[in-house]
Amino acid sequence: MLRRLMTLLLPVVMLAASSTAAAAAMDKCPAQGGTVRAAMAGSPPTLDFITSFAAQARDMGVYIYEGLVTVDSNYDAVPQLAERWTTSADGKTYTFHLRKGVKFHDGSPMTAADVVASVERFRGQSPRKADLSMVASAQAVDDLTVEIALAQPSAAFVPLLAYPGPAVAIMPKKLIDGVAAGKLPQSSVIGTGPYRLAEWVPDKHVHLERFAQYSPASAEASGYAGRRLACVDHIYFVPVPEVSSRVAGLESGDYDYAQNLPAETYKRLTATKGLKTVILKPYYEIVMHLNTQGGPLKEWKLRRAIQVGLNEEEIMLAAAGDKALYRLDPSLFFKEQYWHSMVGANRYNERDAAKAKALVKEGGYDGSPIRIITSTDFQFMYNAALAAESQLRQLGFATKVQAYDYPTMIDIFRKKRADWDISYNAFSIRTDPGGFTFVLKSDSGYQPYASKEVDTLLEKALLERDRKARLKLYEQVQDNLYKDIPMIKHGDLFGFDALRDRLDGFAPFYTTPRFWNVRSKDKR
Amino acid sequence: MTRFLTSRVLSLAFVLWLVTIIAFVVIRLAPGDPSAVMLGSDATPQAVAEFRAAYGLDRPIAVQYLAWLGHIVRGDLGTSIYLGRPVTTAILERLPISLTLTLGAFAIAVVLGVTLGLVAAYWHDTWVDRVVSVVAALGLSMPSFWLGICLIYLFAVRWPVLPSGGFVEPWIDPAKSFRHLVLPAFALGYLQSGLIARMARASMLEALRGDFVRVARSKGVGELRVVVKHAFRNALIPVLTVTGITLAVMFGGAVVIETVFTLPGVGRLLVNAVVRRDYPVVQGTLLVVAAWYVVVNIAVDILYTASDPRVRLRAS
Amino acid sequence: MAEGRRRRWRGLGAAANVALLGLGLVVTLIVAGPYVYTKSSTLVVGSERLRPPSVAHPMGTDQFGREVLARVMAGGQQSLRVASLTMVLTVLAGSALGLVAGYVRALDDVLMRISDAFLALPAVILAIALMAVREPSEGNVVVALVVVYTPRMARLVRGKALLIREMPYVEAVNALGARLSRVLGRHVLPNAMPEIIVQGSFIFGYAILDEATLSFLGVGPPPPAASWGNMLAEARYLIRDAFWISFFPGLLIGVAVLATNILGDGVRDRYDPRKGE
Repeated sequence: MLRRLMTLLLPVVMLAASSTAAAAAMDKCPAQGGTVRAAMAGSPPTLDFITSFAAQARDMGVYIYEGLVTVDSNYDAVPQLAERWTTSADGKTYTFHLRKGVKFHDGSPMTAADVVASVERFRGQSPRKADLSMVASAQAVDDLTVEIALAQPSAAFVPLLAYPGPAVAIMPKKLIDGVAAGKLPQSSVIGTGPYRLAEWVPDKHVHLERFAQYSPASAEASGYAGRRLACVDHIYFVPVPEVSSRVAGLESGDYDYAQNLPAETYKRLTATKGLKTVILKPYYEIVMHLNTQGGPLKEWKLRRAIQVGLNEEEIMLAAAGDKALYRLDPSLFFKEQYWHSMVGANRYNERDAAKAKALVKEGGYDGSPIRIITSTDFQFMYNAALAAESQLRQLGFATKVQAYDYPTMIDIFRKKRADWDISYNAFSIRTDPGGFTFVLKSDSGYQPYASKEVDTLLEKALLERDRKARLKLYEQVQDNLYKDIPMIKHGDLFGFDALRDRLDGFAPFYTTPRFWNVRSKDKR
Repeated sequence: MTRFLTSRVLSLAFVLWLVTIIAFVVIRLAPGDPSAVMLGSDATPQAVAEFRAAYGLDRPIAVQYLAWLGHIVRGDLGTSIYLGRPVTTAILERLPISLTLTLGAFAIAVVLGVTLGLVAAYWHDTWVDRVVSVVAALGLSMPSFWLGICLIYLFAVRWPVLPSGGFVEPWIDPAKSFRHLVLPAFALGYLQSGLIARMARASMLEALRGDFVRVARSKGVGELRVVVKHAFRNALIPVLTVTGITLAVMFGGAVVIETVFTLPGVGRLLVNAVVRRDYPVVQGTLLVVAAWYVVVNIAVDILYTASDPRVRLRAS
Repeated sequence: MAEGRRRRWRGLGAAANVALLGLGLVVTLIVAGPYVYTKSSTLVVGSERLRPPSVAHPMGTDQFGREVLARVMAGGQQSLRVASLTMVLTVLAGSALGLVAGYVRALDDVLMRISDAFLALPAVILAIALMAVREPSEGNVVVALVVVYTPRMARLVRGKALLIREMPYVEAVNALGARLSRVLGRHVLPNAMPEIIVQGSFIFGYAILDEATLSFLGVGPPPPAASWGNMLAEARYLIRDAFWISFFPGLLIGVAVLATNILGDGVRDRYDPRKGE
């Protein structure tokens, strides 16, 4: 469950962003061919990407599919399949003009009818459909024009449309009409992206193949947008859940890229000849959800005890593995963003064990174990859970930890509320603070938390056009979160991936590796 | 001989049938409603209704079992909750990998075990014997994953001569396939070789002390010939039984090795299914593994009867 | 009549004695150690992460700053508990089944077919499957292992019982009209005892290995409980940078299991000088 927030153009970020953009920009491939083998932290649970929150689904979806809009290196919404768009004066109608000559992987042309069908399917089947709840209707005006009407004007609409996890992927109407969620067969995984799905063998690999008739956008490559060129012919995403195997495989040359590596190997890998290490910043913020609906944590005093007693420095150090790979920060949004705020921060990292223990007593804790669920796919999540668990025990709680692979953990988190008290999660950056609406609003059913106050604030914020006013509203949301304690943020984590030198032109962005505009220096 | 074999096949078929009962019961030990357990919690009401009808969940347990058996006989092992695909497909996709690994490890186990056993028997009660015993005993005492991890570290990281994991089918690229299989097959094979070595030593020892050998030696037959032609052939038969058991059992050992070496085989499928509570896959895998055991046993029995004249005579 | 009486203890041979000593040391460390070395095995101390072995940290610390020595001892206690309980229960269940099957012709076929069915499923696989339907916990690991080992034990005891059944003095006792339970308990069992003890010691060793394997695969007792198996699992990615976290549990597993195997061999040799079946 990884969500993104919109970044604002701060000078520091601009510098990083421009270097990112520059490294990735290309007019045409300097050389064509070769294979990239990437060792990934897990397997996508399904190929029907729009139905999954799993990071692994997003990692691969971005190659196969494109959307009307997507995010650039500043996490702003920019055109992708839409060439441009216009907004009506009342802000309720958006007209998207599609690019000409874009083909699907099966050779058929992409038209407005496909866009409408895809948007409708997303609104019907995707767990992120609430992000588009402001949409009233979508229709094809002609082959290359789509009109989307909103029930009310919303500043968040286009950014949320651009949000990549899961993305509002454009698929051929004839292949998706009437197809239920998760029932998309492999042969129907057809998009407009630079790579097509050649083969998916579960637990073995996802094999992507260059799409010869791809029409790249004209703008300079930036983030997920712009001119994406498939210089490498084949990409294999290999699920290697064993962290040590990912490292060993990278070192021995079996893989060209290894995702999500342990901090303990950072120094060694950086010094290794033939390898390059990359830090991904911002990456994820690590949070724990608390079950406010049932179980011992229904009692607010006990949640407050946890909030007061936790030492976030310890947890983040265990999670990140190295001081250079995390920072403490209380805000729902990342420092790099306009929306970052210190409201409520007095309740972050208080580290008052005595007060916490007193609250445990006051809260009438009956000794039933606090059930913590976490994921083995992400070492940082597993480590954070164990570090937190140790602290909870010190505070007087009985605990029980259960670790699963990420898609299963998310499944339990969302659908088996009776089975957990604390669930781990990690949020990635949002293209718009509205991206948190789904996470926090009670009618989405994402988490057990339900607050009328927060619901109202979120609704107002979606409709508010003035940026400063929106900021105030989100600050109030943050304050409410610190008061109601449905979740507790540990801190910001930076990512650490590594790759072999033979991949030329790679630049890190967001959380997933981009292998377009990358060439392999040797013809392998 | 055919009567002996027929009775063996029948008794093994009976065993397989009992295994289906075990698999059926084991799954129903899981807490919760069987349809929720088998289909997962977000199944549509329609899917649940279909499932209940197909397996007669409101009817007596014997009927449910028969319904389930009916599905199995038709090759329908159910659908994986997690993968959303038929269990049979999932297993068949992974079978080649597990089989290649198992057979490779088996070859190593047999060669290593028999060699060690023979050497130990021939030079019995000397330091050679003791060293071999320790080597074999070590194999039986070491956790397989520990050995696997050490091998990866030594041969894929420290001296990067072999890949650290992954798999290539032998028919696609035999050389590459071999390289991927060497470490896992060795890890699996070495551990199982201990039992074979022990058995080989014992039966070789007995053979060496036996009449055939004494007569041959007294006739002045060369030592090597004595060992190979007379002792070895007689020692072989009991070793065959142990070897057969080893092959049958090796599938289980492969589970751990597949996890350590990231081989997408049946073993890893099972472990993942257990953690994810993907019961149809758990059930299906149990049956496939038992079927493997039965097949191997039948093969061993055929070889056994064919090679040992005493058994043939007794059986006919 | 000599078989009826227990043989006097005469010693087990050099190798077995060394093994006994080794096992004794390991058990002493595990059982008595925590009274001397009282640090916690589950307390996370971020500032003490990944310290190599030293005077302050005799076996070093892991990636959570937990004392490896404390975890080795706690994990060892878990292994010993699981192995002992499994051994005792398997010996009881397996011997009972085996004796009855071997002695009572009528029940032999049925019991053996059923145990064959269980034997058709390799130990690890059946154990994993059983863990699928239960909560991962120490108790359930014992249950799974007992279910897996009992058929194997039963088969062996049955074999011995079959042999004993043919012995003249047993026939004599029967002719005198002794009750079945008396025959089994007083005459058959004592003769099967050596075999049972030998098997019991092997089972102890297998249980340590299998418990570690189940923990390693993630279906054993959950974290943060220390288990030799999950210590090895958690430290997999640190083998190069912090080898001590996997080295000590791995070493102890090897020593403990090797010792029980050698001991078992020694006892077997003592009662039956011909090695093998």
